[in-house]
Amino acid sequence: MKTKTITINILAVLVLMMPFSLMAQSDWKVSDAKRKDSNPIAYSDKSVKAGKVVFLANCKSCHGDVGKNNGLPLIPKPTDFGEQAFHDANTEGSIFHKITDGRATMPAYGAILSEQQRGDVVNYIRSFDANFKPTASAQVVETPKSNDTEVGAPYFLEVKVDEANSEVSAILMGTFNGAKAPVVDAEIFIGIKRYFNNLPIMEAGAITNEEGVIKAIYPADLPSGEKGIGELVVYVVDQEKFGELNQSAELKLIATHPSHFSETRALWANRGNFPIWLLVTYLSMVLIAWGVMGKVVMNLFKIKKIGN
Amino acid sequence: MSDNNSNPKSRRDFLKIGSLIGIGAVAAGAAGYAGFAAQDGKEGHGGEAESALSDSEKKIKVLTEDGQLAEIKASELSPVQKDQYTSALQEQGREGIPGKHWVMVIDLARCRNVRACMASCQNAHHLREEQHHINVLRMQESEHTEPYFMPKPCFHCDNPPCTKVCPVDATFKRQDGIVLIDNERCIGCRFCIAACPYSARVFNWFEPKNHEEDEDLLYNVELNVPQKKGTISKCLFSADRLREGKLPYCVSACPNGVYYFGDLNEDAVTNGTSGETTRFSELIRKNAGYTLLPELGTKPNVYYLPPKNRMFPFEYNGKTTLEDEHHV
Ligand code: SF4
Ligand code: SF4
Repeated sequence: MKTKTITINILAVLVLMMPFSLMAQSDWKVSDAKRKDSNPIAYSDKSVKAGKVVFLANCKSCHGDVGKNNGLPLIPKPTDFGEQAFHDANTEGSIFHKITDGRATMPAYGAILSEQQRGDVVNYIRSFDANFKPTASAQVVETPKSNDTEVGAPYFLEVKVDEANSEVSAILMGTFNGAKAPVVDAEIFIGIKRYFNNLPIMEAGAITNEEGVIKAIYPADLPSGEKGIGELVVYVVDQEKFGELNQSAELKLIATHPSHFSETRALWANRGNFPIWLLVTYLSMVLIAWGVMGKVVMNLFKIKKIGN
Repeated sequence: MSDNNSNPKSRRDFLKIGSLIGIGAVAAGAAGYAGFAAQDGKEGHGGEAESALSDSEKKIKVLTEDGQLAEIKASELSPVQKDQYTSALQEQGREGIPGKHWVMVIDLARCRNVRACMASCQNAHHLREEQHHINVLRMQESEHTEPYFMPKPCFHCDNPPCTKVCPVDATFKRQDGIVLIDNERCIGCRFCIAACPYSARVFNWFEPKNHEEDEDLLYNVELNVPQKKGTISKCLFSADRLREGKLPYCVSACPNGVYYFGDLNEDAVTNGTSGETTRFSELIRKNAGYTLLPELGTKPNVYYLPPKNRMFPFEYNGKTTLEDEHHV
């Protein structure tokens, strides 16, 4: 009896799960015509870089970092574009149309990103396809720059604040042949501390330039506590490669003027909220009434005395 | 587990002590009630106290009020009076968090009626199925306009009509802008329901959900748990979570990034889904954010971003319109 119920339960669970498995990413097909479409934006080094910036700003929040399998736990699960199976199953046309039209939890980005931006993202995603060979005219992105491979640990992160121009620079250096050398193309977060999370001030997806520098303008008019001092938070995003590198500094921002709510009431339950004018009026009326009554009683006694 | 089952009474006692300690720790850390639960002086300097801890000192596990397991030194554990904690909770609940002015932004373009916000809210505040602190409404302004979904919590008005009419001071506005209800004071007159122009309040007509299990819980005015029959309840902006630096229940439950929550005094709001922080003023300016019925002068603290550039087309019961439903 018991095994029977268990079997039925298992079957029920399987049946219930079916819609989910049917919805799995690999089953998301676009029409054949769309599959054959080509990406309106040609593959190039520049497009891939631009695509990365768009990806970090719009897609990363759900899909996570490519290859790290750290996307949000949604159903269906957002694809990690490091998976080769995805690339084998999808042409650039299908990726483009999936981004444009969306489905279920995947938003339709046709309304949000321009064609150029969507095309750049497709190129960025395609740069993770191991079997993808860009046409001869296109530049292969993955060509390692000499700098990229050889600059190694230890890394140093430095922060400079230029108060006159409200500018912050973060400089990431590595070591090359025993000397300090800049790290190129690294993501660095630059933000100002807020109650729940840091407010980023660098451009979304900003990466270090040839000198290993990212610059950011900070909003000097940001309210920050009664003294107007904000805490700058800077860290290197890729902790696996660079280790935990972070810096902080103080920024001069503007002071907050906390709002004071004065509670007015229509009905009063306790003395604290009771309006004084009413208290005074009421008490004096009570006193007068009692006074008059007292006077009357006194007069009665007086009359009695006189009568005697 | 078997231990607990065989002796439900002791488990309940354990939970009670656990929740006392848990609340004590939160109170001590956040609002300066140090000394209620732990010995003075050690509470504020967790780091030092920890490093100085000798291995021989025994630690015991306690269950905090939100169900998390925590460790505390056995020597620091002292039994406390329940009333003392209730009044400490009441006090901190009335006071609020200094220097803050909480604000919520709801992006209507992203809402697709998932109702995860409602579920997590009802779960946190032990609400019956028909009671909503936050409700997702289907809206259509007129016949030829696009329908959209609109989550509607309490707006924590800066000029709240609801608190003014309470005859017993049970509903009140604190310094951080949150409008709360004290179920222990509320007499159930429902004046406040009549006063609120946004229908944000619900009444406990029946015994609240879980009322038997909740019987022994300490009343937390920032959570409205345990709920009480014959009293009011409404959205609390998750005042208990804000104290711990966490986003409200609904905000962090939404899978579509509908909610932003933050502090107006810091001019920053954080999206509950992506965790991204943006400037509040910029978000409102760029997206033409608005508040509901501003002409009433209630000064709501919940802002809406209009449902433009929708990521998801409107769909309800398999239809993309609301034609069968009433609209003005
Ligand atoms: S929305 Fe209603 S219940 Fe909430 S503060 Fe405003 S008037 Fe009061
Ligand atoms: S129902 Fe409760 S909270 Fe509302 S006005 Fe009456 S006593 Fe106050």
